[in-house]
Amino acid sequence: MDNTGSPKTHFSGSVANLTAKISVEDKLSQEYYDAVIEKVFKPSWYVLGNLNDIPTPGRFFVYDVPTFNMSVLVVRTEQGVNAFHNVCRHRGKKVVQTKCGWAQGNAGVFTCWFHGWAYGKDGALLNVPDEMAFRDFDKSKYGLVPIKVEVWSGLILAYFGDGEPQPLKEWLGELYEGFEDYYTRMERIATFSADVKSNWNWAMDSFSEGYHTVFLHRNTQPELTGKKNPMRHAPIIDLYGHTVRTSGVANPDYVGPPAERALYKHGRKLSPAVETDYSELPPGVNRTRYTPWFFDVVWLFPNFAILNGPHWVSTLMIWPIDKDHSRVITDHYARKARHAGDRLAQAYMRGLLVSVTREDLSAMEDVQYGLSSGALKHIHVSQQEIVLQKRYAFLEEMIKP
Amino acid sequence: MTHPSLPDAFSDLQPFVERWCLVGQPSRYDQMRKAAITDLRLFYDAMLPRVDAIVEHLNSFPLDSLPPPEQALFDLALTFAEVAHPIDFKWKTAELDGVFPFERMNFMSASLLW
Repeated sequence: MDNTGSPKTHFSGSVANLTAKISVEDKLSQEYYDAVIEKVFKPSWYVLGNLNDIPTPGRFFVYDVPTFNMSVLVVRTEQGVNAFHNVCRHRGKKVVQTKCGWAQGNAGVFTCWFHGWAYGKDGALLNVPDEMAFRDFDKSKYGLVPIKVEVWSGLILAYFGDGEPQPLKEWLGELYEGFEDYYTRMERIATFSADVKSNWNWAMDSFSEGYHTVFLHRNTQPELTGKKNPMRHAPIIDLYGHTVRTSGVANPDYVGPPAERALYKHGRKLSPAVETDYSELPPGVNRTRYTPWFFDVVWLFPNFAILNGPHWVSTLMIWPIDKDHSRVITDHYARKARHAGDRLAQAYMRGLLVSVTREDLSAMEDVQYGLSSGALKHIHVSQQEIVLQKRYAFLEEMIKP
Repeated sequence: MTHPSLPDAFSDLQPFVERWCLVGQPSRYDQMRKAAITDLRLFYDAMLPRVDAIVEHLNSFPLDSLPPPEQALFDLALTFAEVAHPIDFKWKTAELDGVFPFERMNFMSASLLW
């Protein structure tokens, strides 16, 4: 116990080079930004979605990645999943138009409606109108440009760097095992995003600790705090290389407000209700079977967090746009609905999460304003904010000359 | 414009259909945040005691192929679920102060489908 009455956290893994004092000025410099994009963002894998988003051959989504100025077409095939640059090989227009950086649908053929060039699910160029007017032109050499993509535990990951990526198994390390049959049971229930005026680091910081939830989310998550753990100390924090896994604490006396109770009674207990039956959890989620447990968070540095709940998963992706702007994309999943009751529970969760997220988005813009003023040379964070410390140490290690 | 009719057993909720029988997350949330808290509470107070009966009725149909009256009831109930939290948490207004502008948020994918 510490002086707040909150229990101590069990830390495992490497705390080498961690510092509670984090310098500010360098994080806002163009040099730091450029180095991080080149040395950290480019050679990383990114979770773009869940295989259940595109359950049958021909189903596709398009995901714009502002950091790399890329538009990625991800399509389900009979064999698995393909990913391509969503760029027509003729004049370079997006083949599939996106809205708010996103598109989805079902297609056997992808036609660019600039000049009618058409591509198959395998990226092959199938049809060029007025093909005879092109000289020295071999259609077989003008398929969509492929992007490396792999499926792990039902999630779709892509790699945008040059050259060969670190194998996904190695990159995920300790997290590679333990999530079997977990994400595969989930269906997407919501996606919302916003472009914010905030450096990507401050945006990631917002989603890297539970400390803020007691205060920032006092209006939207008022019952999360238990009497025995008023500061919501995480019981377990596993610090790996460029990943972290934490188990978060629940309020054991959580009751929930009237509408939430009425709706979750008929469906599964979704966020922020407390599930005490762990029988359907895979070994990688709440790995110690800690009680009272709320949800785990897994961070894949540099810019991704997955909240692994009992019957729900939320993901937070922060894409740097430039050093002062970021795109925050939140995807929310829940166990597949069996009936109307489950769908109504999903609706309660996603409605509330819009309000919760608006609080986070507002705070990160205020942080940008505060820190870009130059008033602070450093920020001083706590042991409960060790995930920030770990990420900044990782970035430092990766960009050092 | 005519509004869909609810199943007979739920005709008492018909007055709420015009305003609250909505599809998709942005339209429901937008209606919520623009509502006077008293109007939101009227809808909440009418719907909350009927949740058990609504779910029992709807669960007897396949989720993805509801007859039109049942689909209207479902959309009304889904709207209730998405807009209930300001009343659940006893907010004084349906829109909190100081939060990120709703107009700057984008909704995609499943948020638009149902």
